[in-house]
Amino acid sequence: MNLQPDVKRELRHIGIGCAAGAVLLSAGWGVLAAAGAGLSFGWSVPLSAALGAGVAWLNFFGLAVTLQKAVHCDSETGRRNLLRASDIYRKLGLGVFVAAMVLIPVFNWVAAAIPLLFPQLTIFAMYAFGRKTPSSKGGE
Amino acid sequence: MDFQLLAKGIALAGCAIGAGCALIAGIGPGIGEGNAVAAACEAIGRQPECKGDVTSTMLLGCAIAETTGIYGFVTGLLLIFVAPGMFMGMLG
Repeated sequence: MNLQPDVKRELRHIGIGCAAGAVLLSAGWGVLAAAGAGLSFGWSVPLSAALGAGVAWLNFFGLAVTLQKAVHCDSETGRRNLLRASDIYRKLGLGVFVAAMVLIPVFNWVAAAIPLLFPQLTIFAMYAFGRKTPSSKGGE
Repeated sequence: MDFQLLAKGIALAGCAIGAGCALIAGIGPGIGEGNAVAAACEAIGRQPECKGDVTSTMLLGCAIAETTGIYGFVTGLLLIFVAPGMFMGMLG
């Protein structure tokens, strides 16, 4: 299935936002640890942040593919089933990821859980900085 | 009566009930996404030339709508995996 150019553009924006967020999170964590805020900083923090950002982007990718398929789906029942199945599988994936981050002591679960909200923060930032504005008035 | 055991039981029950309540937050985004896609299909059917704009806006809107779901989901998982250990440590 080919992705629409608009969907590809949004995926690129979210990917850049997630990557930048992971770098900022690691840097901020390091600064706070150096300032004596009671946080421990090691290689597990950037690794967990990068993994979390990757999973967040994959979740957004799954959402994008599902919505594009749903728009082209003719029957309402099929559309509903598609959305429901996608939601279940994506939530299951997120659950397995968070559980793995908590249970495997090598990773830092806080640094892995925060990036899951990076796509949403990126969208807020896009609207806040005017990167995304309504291109047409629309209407009938 | 062993009050420490009772306290641990209450703490564990609270974690389980809290996790269940937190996961209720996942219902809202599902309904919202369904409505958004239905409205987007209607809009594309009415104005096919705006397909790109509608898809892009719908995608970002659905991602925003998912925020509460992810937040509740992560909170629920933390109540299942992290909070019981913390409470057991605190209660000895």
